[in-house]
Amino acid sequence: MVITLSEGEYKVLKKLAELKKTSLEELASELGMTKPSVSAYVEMLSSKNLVRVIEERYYIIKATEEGIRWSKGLPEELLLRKLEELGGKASIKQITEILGKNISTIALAWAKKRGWIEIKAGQLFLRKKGELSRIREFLVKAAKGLVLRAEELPRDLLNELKRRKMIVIEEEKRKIIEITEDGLKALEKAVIEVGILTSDIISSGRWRNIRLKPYNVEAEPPRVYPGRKHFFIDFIEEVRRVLHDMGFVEMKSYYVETEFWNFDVLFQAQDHPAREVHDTFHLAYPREGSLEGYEDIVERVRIIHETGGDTGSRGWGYKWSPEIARRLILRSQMTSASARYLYEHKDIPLRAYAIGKVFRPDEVSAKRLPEFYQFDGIVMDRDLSFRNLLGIIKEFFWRLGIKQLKFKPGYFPFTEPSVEGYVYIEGLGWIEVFGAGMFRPEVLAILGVEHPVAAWGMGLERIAMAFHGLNDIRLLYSTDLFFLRNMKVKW
Amino acid sequence: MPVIRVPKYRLEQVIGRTLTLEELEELLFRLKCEVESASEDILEIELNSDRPDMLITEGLGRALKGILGIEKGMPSYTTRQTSITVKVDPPPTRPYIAVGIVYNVRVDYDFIEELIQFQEKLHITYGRNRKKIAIGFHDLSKLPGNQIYYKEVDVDKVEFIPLHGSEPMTAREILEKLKQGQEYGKISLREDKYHPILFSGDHVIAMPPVINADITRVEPGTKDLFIDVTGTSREAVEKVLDIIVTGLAERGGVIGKARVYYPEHETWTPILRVDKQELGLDYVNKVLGLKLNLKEIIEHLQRMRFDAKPLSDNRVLVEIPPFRVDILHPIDLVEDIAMSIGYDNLEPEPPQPSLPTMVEDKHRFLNRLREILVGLGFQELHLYMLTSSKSLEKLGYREFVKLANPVTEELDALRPTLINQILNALKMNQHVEMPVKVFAIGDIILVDHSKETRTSEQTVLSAAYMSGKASFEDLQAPLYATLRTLGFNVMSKKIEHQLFINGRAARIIIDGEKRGVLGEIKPEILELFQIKYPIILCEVNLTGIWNKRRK
Repeated sequence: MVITLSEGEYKVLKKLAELKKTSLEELASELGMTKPSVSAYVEMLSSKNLVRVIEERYYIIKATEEGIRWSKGLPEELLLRKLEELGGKASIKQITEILGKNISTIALAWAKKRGWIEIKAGQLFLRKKGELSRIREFLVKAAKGLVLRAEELPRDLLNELKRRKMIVIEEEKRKIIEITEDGLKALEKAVIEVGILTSDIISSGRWRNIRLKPYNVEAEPPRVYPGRKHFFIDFIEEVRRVLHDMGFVEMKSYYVETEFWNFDVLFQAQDHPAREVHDTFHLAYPREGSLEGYEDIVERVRIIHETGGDTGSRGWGYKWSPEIARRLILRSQMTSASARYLYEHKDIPLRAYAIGKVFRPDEVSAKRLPEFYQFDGIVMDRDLSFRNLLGIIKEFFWRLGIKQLKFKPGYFPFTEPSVEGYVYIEGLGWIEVFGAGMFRPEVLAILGVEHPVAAWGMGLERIAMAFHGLNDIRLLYSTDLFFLRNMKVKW
Repeated sequence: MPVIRVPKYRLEQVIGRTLTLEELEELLFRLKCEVESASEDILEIELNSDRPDMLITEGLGRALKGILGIEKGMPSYTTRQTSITVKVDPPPTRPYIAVGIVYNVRVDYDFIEELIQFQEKLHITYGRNRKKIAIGFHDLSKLPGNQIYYKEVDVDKVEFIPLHGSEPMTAREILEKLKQGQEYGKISLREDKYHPILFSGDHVIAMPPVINADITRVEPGTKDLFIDVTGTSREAVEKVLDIIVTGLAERGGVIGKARVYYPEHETWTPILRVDKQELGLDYVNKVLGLKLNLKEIIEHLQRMRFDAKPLSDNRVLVEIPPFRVDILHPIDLVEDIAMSIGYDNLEPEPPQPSLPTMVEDKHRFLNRLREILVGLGFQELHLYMLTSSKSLEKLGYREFVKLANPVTEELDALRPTLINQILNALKMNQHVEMPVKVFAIGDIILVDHSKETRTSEQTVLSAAYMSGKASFEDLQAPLYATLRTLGFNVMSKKIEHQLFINGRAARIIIDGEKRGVLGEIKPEILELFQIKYPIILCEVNLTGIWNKRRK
């Protein structure tokens, strides 16, 4: 029969073959392992009858302080030596003076008992010479602590030493481990089972002599989590890729804007409700931006707002204020980026976009946040029509995988005709996602643009939520790692 | 955008036929309206703010009749001059007034409800919350006298019973005690003493824009309405009155005009102004990308309730009804033509395709960066741009963009760093399996007075490592790996930093430029954020780094 041994069992058994018989403590220290793990291996080996565990009774003998003190010479030995020096005869009084009262009493009693002396009328007489080297040697050993089995005990000495309080004796049980015949045989024939295949096992060739322990391959492994990109940022990057495929370039945009670029150039009247504190974040610090270097467009804005200028428009019929235009706000629409871009870029055909955060003073709720991502795209070309605008929007959504669109007339201060767009999303139905239109003639005149411009903008959160089946916009900003780690990746 | 509630039967009365809910939804959709939630009897309709004339059933019905072809062209209204006169001594805070009468409006409970709704919605939208214009409705038969006076009065020297009140109150009491007074009392009050008042004979009938007097209260059974509109813009005041009287007269009412005397001039109101616009055939077709003929264009304009007649082979003269406020330019007529056609009948036609463009270096760089960090086991976070000034100040940030009108204290500043948000995120994640390895890439906003927007925008990477035991190298090693993989030289130089433990803080130097910091967060800061785990954190400014390595 071939016996399988784990690597640990093998090591223990091999060491036992060397030592034949040993205690657990000694075995553990020889192996450089902890006592509990050696004990576990021993138990397993013993259940296979490869080792025998014998429980033995031990006596631990320790010399007391008294014992240690006398280990160089016992009191009766001292007495004997003195008596010899005095010529084998002395008075008790003499001896008591030399040795002190306590010691001389003990010494006299024991010397007499051993038959070394005789006492007659207060006089000591040496009878016989003797020495106690056996006792002394025993005490020297006991001073360090002696461990003896029952048969090794010097029973004749023990009672006397115990009585004289020179030693204390404690009993202890100890496990003694011994390799069996089977164990010795097994060592030659055993197959060693190894838990982990190591580089060392492979390179040493030891793998030939071992067996790899089977794993519980059906058990649930510990959970690990990959690093992950954020799903919403990924969605934005996908939108970006679609736009570049369609020939768009990115426009520069500013988080903090002057009202001028956010509203005035877009022909939004200065008393338009969207500019008030309910709809736009105003700044407490810093408060006012600069229109320096924009004198030409500032003047065009003023004239067109006030009277329409020569655009064929009636304008808004009020006095335009540069102070309002200079006020700083958080941009409320990405169209500000489009306006800045068109002010500087006039070559056709032109396709440009911006994606960024816009801000509106909405309370945080499942439906709305005070900030959200908005995309704004513009196309400028000779004779570009409203149908072209609908066409490019249709193409954009087609590329995002959305095939069904619905157009509704809408109203935006800076576009005409204007359109609001709905897309159909499986399982959700029609959701409103974008606004679009042709820039108004007033806006084009302000920007100094000669060709029609089609523009469309959309919030990205709603569509991303629809794609990911989320019904709370705050989840797009969740920093809860449990949620993020367990969110399924869309592919 | 305003939402109004309209009883379906009233709309059908105005149109003169019944319609199914689906038909109504479809038709209203073409007129920029969305039926939000509808019961059998009541429609809830969301409108766009450019069409205040449609904020009442009569106006909606008028538009629907056109699009259904039941009535086309500009509606005509019967008008008559009355003996009512208004003498204006213009209050400086609210100098303009226009008044009008509509006879035979037959007021019942439902109508009163709609009248109040119409008034409210006009106040909120076109009226800029009563600042620009305010409207008062009165029962004509209860007017104490035909001589109306509009002037400024000392608020302690005038008293009347406010609408639905029982006791006379002084104007000051009304401003101080009534809800309307507290809400709108500041708008036109001058020197805390003078307020515009409208008198009929000796009696106060209104205190615009705050409240009417009870004396002329409109009730079920009221037959003829007297309307006053006051405001800060003469054009707006006159326009709103036109919208109201034409709307109320839509069901066969007769419009009465009154003579208004200003110190320098006099006029009849309502004016019922009809503007004219010329429209070119080519212009319409070019904007829409269609090939309509003159006849078709005229037909569509008439369906949208304009009058239109040909001026030549390719030009139309369009007359704009008094209730339209949104026609500033011929382009606005083009949109109405498109609405009449129906947007879903306009075939989308993509323009000439363009060649694909390269994604900007910035985004290509950042996407590579994200990939490497993710490969190193870091989870990307998506954070708000808005943050709390309190938590920034806790970390020692002093100068950043602050909002004047935040919606919550938690979001009252633009972030000048990602660090406080990262620490907040870590605070929320002390219960998940460790280690927590996170990063965020995003823009931060710094105050910079040399810029036209007084701010500069920087792109930063912030990353953190949190675990039961965390060592400096747990983050330093992945940061080095990331930057070196992207081809940069990276070095750390020992510094002292308010966020980091002494001796455990380093400046990160990339290609010889100081670009960020890395260190172990001080325990006192962890305690401030109620975090019980050690954290290694870094923030690196990446602005422009993507322009550097183009080999």
